[in-house]
Amino acid sequence: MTGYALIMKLTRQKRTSPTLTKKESLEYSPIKNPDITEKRLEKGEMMITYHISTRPWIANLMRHIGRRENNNFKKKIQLDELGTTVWDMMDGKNSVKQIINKFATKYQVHPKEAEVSVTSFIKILGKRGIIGLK
Amino acid sequence: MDAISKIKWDKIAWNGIQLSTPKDWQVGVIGMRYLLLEKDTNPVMEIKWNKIKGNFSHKDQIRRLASVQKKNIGKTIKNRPIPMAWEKIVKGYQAQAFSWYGKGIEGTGLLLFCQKCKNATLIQFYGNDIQRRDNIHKKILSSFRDHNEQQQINIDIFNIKAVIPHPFQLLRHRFEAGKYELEFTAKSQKITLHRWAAASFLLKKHNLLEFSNSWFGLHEKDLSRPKAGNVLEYCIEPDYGFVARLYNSIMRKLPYQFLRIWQENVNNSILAVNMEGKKQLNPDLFDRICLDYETN
Repeated sequence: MTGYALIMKLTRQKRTSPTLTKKESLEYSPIKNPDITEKRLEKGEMMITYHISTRPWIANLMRHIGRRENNNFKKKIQLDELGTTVWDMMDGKNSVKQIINKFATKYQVHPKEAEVSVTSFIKILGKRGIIGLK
Repeated sequence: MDAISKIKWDKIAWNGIQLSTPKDWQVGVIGMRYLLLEKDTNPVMEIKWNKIKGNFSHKDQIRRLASVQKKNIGKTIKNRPIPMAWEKIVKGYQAQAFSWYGKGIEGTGLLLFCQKCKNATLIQFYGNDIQRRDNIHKKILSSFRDHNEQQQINIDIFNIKAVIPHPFQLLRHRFEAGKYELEFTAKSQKITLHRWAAASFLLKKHNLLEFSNSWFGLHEKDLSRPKAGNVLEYCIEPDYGFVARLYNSIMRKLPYQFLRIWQENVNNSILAVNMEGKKQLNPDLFDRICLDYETN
């Protein structure tokens, strides 16, 4: 890599995704990643298997040392009853706000409490690439 | 029927203050002596209060507020006459009104000082349509109280209600999804209110006794009365040996303890009152606190 290219790479600005207001993000609907697999366990809880993508620098390193890049890393996550309830509501039609309201009604918790629980859960699933928002 | 009478109202009581607000105004941020209320994720009202030692000057307080808010959030604050509609309502206080504006938003505020309880309270209403909501603001201000004759602390927030008698003061609070904890102290005693939700989920694999024992590190032998339905009560008294007393003193333990834990089926919650102290505890006081503690 030339010196110029290295400088350009180091000073390249990070691509930022557009920020949503809280109100906007509550109107979005979570959708499941089609590449994941779901399995309902005996007690009704959900087991999700999803792919973990290799970080680009690890993939490059593996190529340099002559090893083939393996994109088949999978991870499993088992949801508890509360997580499974929220998961079952993610049908691409229910918005985040609707999921929060249904969760609050079902478990008789304060709406704010339901909002914090559900949004944190959606954030975790989103970070792992298990769901997206539309 | 006018618009104001169609609105449903809710009561909020928190650490010394209480007021009524429209039901769709939710507490968005809570501090020891601070509340920010939101409607549909937009802030609509802010209230901050504190006891004042010594003399109180509206001029100084507003000048300080103006300088801090201008510096931190680009908000400009200016004194203004108290709106006529509010004058009668706030006549029990030393009051000063102000208006403020920031990036794309403005509002009106009041700084109140009560001579009886020495509390100063800052109330700010957000929004560019203040005039339209004037009736709502009037009702909120009419309902506002910053003290009560019994000097007790009323709690009515996030679905829990409690009455804590004088001289207990709120020391810390935790409101997390599924778990609330409020701690009050007075001299050598401590009262902690707990609330867990959802009970149907938490008690699926364990019964109330197992849940309670694991949470508080207690044993069935500490139960002070036979288990009755969904209520458990523990009573712990210290070991009177010299070594035990010395250990408790060094470790600053509160050796006397009453604990009552019960399941509220109506609101799918588990509530607990934990009272601890260095000396013998008052069982009547403990009973009263438990009876006044509920979900709504």
